[in-house]
Amino acid sequence: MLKRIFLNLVALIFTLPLLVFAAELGTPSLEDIEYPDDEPPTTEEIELGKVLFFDPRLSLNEKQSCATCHNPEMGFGDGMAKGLGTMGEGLGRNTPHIYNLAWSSIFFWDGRAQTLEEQALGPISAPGEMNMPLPQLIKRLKKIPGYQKLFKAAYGDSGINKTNIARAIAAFERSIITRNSAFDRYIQGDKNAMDPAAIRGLALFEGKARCTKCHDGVNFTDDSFHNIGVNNNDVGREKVSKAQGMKGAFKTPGLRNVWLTSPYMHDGSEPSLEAVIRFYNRGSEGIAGVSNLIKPLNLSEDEISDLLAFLAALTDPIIIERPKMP
Amino acid sequence: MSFSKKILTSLLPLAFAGGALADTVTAELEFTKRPPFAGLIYLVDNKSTNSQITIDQKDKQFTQKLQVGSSGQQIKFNNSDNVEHNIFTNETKHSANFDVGLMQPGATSEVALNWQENSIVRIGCKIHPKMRAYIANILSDYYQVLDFEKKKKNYQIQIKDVPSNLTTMNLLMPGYKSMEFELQPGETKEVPISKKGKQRGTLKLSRQ
Repeated sequence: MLKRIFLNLVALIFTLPLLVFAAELGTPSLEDIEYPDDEPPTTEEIELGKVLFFDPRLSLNEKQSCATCHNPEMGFGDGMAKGLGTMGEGLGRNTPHIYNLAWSSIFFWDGRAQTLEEQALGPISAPGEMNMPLPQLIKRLKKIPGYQKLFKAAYGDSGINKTNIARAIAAFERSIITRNSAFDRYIQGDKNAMDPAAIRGLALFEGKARCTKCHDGVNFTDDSFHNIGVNNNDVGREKVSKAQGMKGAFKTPGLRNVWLTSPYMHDGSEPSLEAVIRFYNRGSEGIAGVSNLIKPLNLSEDEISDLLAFLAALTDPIIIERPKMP
Repeated sequence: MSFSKKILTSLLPLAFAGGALADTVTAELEFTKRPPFAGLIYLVDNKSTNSQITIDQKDKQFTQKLQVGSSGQQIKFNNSDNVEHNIFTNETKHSANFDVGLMQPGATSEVALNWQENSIVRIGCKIHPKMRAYIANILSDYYQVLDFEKKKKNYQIQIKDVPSNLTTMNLLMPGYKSMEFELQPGETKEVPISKKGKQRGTLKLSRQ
């Protein structure tokens, strides 16, 4: 008996250094949002951002709005493996969802934007995406009386300019908040909020399935970059950071509403959450540069099913009424 | 020598040493909104006894929010975490730019502190962007690091043993312009704390 306790203690001592710190899962607090200049946006600012977000006139040929790819009815994605630009050309990566970006510290799959304001202007002006030169966009918006009024209401005399366009869209994006899922109700004490399979799935998520090695914290992301072994030629974070060991690394996406955001991975290569779990279960062995966090999991079919139930418990759809265009 | 003359002789050097007598600066810093991540308040001097700075990383965080060094020192980075890190800074406005490269768990690395004096620069990790800490470059031993908390708006400051000839103070906080002001021995004053033209707090100082 004593020998067994001793062996268990020895095993624990040797295992402890291998454990990776994971921020606690929970419900995100509105008080933890870091607004630019510590000022929460005004209602007018969010409303203007919402109108801009849904307006196809923000693209050169007036065919594509931000919401075309970040479609609220499709989990703020587009349902496609890889996105499409306004001129019809294919993009290189899957359209990321935009839930709970208010808590995010870095943006895009490769982290090339440091702020949501910077991110907001990127796809508008990118030649392969909305293809709209910003000076041309400003001229276009200035000709629309409705926008003159909306910008005046939000920003006073500073009016229609690049900074205010970015601020407004970012303000709207920060308002896309999900934090009332079955999981949230469960951890707040409603033990009936999640079914037994989801409760078992939560234990797997934090334990055997190793999900919280990356999908940790209140938004189920460490906001960090990992090469998980999706085998393609995209160098990802390496190109932006010029850092060693970042080849093929991409930002960990948050998992709130993940049930709504298929397909998955930065290249949209996994069509379903079941496929994603089976991908991780295999462990990406033999692929160069894969993070040492990725290992075979040996999950049973029942355990895969339980994990799926838990991921479904992160669902809290956001209904957005499309605004009237000015 | 009479007894009274002896006492006078003993007290005289003390009276002339008045210029170098030590003061205590106390202050109350109050924010109207959420305080910044960290800060540093100090008396401007021309020398420092700071030894080498050691910056550590654990649980995907820097173990201290702000550390103080001075030009020419080496900054030693430790990775006491069980994941890789890649510390860097690129604050060109303070001429600060380094990248220590990939650090495996247990690894150490050193860089020289060689950027603009009287500034703080942010350091981060290329792998874990939420990680942040600041390194100040100042020539002074008379300072207090301000470890702010998100929900606490009021902070007490005390800097002891300040030589009376040091009268220029500086407050450095991320996102705020450097604030320099004078504080003479015996003086009490109130300094508004502003950010982008808006008042965000008040610093009430006294020096005894």
